[in-house]
Parts: sequence; structure tokens; C-alpha cells
Amino acid sequence: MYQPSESELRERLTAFIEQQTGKPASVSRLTRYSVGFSWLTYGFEATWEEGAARQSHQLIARIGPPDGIFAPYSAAPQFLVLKAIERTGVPVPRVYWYTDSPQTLGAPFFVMEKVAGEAPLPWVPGGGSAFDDTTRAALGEQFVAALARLHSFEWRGTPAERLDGARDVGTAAAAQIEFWERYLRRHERRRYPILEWALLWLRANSPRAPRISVIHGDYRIGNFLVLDGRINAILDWELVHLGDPHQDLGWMCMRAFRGRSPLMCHLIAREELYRRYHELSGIAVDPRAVAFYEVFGTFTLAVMHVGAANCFEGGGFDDLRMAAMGAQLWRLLSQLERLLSGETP
Amino acid sequence: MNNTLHRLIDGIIIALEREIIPRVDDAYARGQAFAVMDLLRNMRPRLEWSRDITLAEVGLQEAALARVDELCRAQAERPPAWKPSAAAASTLSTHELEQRRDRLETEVCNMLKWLAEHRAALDPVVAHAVEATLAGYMRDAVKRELALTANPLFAEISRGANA
Repeated sequence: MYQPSESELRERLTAFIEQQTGKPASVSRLTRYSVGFSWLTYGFEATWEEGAARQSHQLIARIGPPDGIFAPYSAAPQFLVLKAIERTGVPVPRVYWYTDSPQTLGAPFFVMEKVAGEAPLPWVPGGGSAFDDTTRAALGEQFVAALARLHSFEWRGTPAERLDGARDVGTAAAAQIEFWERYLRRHERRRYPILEWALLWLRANSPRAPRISVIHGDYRIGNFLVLDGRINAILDWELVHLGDPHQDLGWMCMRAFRGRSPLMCHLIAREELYRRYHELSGIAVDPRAVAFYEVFGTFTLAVMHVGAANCFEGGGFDDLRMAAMGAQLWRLLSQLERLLSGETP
Repeated sequence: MNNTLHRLIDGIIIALEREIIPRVDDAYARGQAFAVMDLLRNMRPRLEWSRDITLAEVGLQEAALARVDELCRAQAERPPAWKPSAAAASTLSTHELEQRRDRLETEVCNMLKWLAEHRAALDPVVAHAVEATLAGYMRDAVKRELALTANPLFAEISRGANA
């Protein structure tokens, strides 16, 4: 299992920063965070010379472990897209450097600023409200506005042009289905009929995309930081790709991220989401396409659980959180079964 | 469950040994953690996943596949013939039962694909009945598994603290 010691990590990060800045640097206060089931997240303080003075920076290193759930990883897509959109009004952390070479840390990684704030989680004790009404309304508006800006972003001619995904509005859904089916086949240790049923349904019901946008891929509660009632940063861009904007909307609307709440991601009513998103992005929302991507999203989340169980079982990844995730697969299969049976999401 | 029992036990022991015990400051708490490791090592060769649960799963699969076979008997287009296994499920060891369950899941998957590909050639009433049988099986199977699945502790796992 990929697990560098703290002293080794500190030493290598120091050398990396010195190489990037061309100045003597030091790294301290290295802390591993428990957030994130895929990339490993370490916080640290780095100091190096800027001008005449030594400046301290609170930073985050995100490392894609060679035995992780989405291995083999590349840090390039996240870095490139975060760089490309940093002045678009989508709140994102500033990124500093990245490498896909295993030479420095034994795995791809990138370094970004540590943004202050708390990440509200989708799992609310007792199934109640995650926010008071005022906070919820403010966060909901910002969350939709950030998504509208991301989807309106003209990625052609920017580094985001190098992202994986579809360039053709007619095949955006098919490309994603194919991607996730490959992932499923790589990780399944037994077949799951509900997943096969879902694949058949998805192929038969694929919508045409209204345009090709940068898709976050995991746009939901839990993946943004809140400080003083405002969204400070949208995080976790590891599934970023080019595709149908309805994909992020469908993901936002999934039952898995709202539990029993009638509000999408505990933030906003479905109709209000569609209306504000359209107003802010100019992209008309097709409710049938959102419904398609809710089924698709529930399918992919279930497939990720299959991947987590397999990484633990035979992939040499000893992180028990993977097994805990795998143990919840049937919850996702139940949600998927209800969607495929025509129940209202 | 989607991991083997022995791998889970091994993983729990590894987590205790490498991740938990070195970070526990209290000697009594460390002693308790070592006792958990000791017990898990002794339980490991004596445990297997519940045979009764797997037996019930296989029963549902066999009933669904037999029903589909019966429904399609008079059709010109027929799925691959369903042949019940020679050995009764109740005579199998847990490991053999798990293998049979996995094989039957593959057969259900193949049946779903067959139905999608041949639906137009089937009597619509039969096609609907086949679909309902397979959907009913999947619903029953997921209900049974869900009833055995505890609520997740994802909030606690993410925060590293009580929710």
C-alpha cells in the first residue's frame, strides 16, 4: 500500500518546492486529512523566499496513490482546469504546481492553497436540514451560480481543451457510459444484475447534449468549503471532463446527496435549480436529460463502490474506508432499482 | 457483503497494527486494541459468511430463472435453456454456494441482455412477464441485502469524529 512516512514526505515536498521556486524552502506542520476516499490529502506549511522576505504559505498536497480507487491517476486534468478557470468567478483554490511523474512522491500530485472553511456533508444526523434557511438560500444561489459559470466557460483555446471526454453533443452520454462500463469490468469480482439492467437502460435512453461544457463530475454537497455563510471554494475536481452539462445537474439531484430532504444537495428545490441555472447560464434545462443523468449518476456511484471493494480485496489498498464503502453498495443498488422501475426520484 | 470475510479480518488487523495502535496514547486502550487483534486472529479460521443468507439468495435466483424458462417455452425465440444444477443447493458448502450464486447472477445478467436483444420477436405479454420476473428477482434480492446493511458512518469516517 502507498504510504510514505511523514519525514519522507516532508523531505520530498521540500525538495520539490525548492526545485519549483528556485529558493531554499522548508515544510512543516504536515497533517493527513481523513477527507476524500480517493486522492490522499495532506495539509502543510511551506516557507520560501519571495522578494527580500521569507513567506509562509498554507498549502495542500493532493496525491493520487498507485493503488487507489481511480488509479492510475493523473494530476494534470485537475491542475489544468483549476488554472484555466481561476478568473471565471468559479470559486476554486489557487493551484501552484503539479507533476504526473512518480519520481518525487512515488505518485502524481499537485499542490494548491489551503482554503479556509468547513465542508458541509450530505449525511445529516436524523435526516434533518443541513442549514438554516438564510444560509441555505445564500449557499444554494452561489452553488448554482458557480455551476452556471463553469458550464458557460469557453474551454476551447484554453488548457482545459486537453481534458478527456466528449467533443460531440451526439455522443457525450455514450462516451461516459463506455468509460464507466470499462471501470466496472475492471473491478467487478461478480456480476450485479441491477448494474447490467442500468447499462441497458442507459444505452436505450441517452439524450443529446445541448452543448459540450467542462463538467466537474462530482458537483455536490461535501465538495465545497463554506466560510461565514459563503462558498469559499469548490473542491474535488478529479472527475473533471468535457461533456453534457446535464450530467452535473443530475449528480446534484441524486438521492444519495440529499437523503430524505426535498432539496437538491440540501440546498435548493428542483424547479428553482432549473430556473436559476437557466437564467444564469443561458443553457435550457431538459428535465428528461436530468432524470437520465440521475440514473447514470446513481449507476456510476454504485460502480465506484464496486471499485472500492475491489481495491481493498485484491488491489493491495488496505484503507478500511474502501471496504466500508463497498459494504454500502446495496444501498446504491436499491436506489438504482427504484429509479429503473420508474419511481419518482 | 462485497469483500471476503478473511480479507476484511486481515484489513482490520492491519489497520489496528499500523494506523490505530501507534497513535493511541493510553496504555490500557492500546492493550484493548491488541486484544481485539488477538481475538480476530483466533476467529479468522473459524468464521465464514452466513450460509443461510447465501442459500436464500440462490433460492431466489433459481426460482426466477426457472420461471423465465417456463414463460419462454412456447416462444420461437428462446433464451439459452435453463438447466437446474444437479446438486441441490442445500448440499453445498458455503464456498460452493457462493460460487453458484455468482454463476447464477451471471445467468440473470445474460437473461437481461437476451431480453433486450430479442424483445421485438417475443409475444409482448410474455416479454412483459419475463421482464417482471427478472425485475421482481432484483427487487427481492436488493431488499434482502439492504435489510442486512447497517446505516453508513460516512460522516464520522470523513470527519474522523462523531457526527
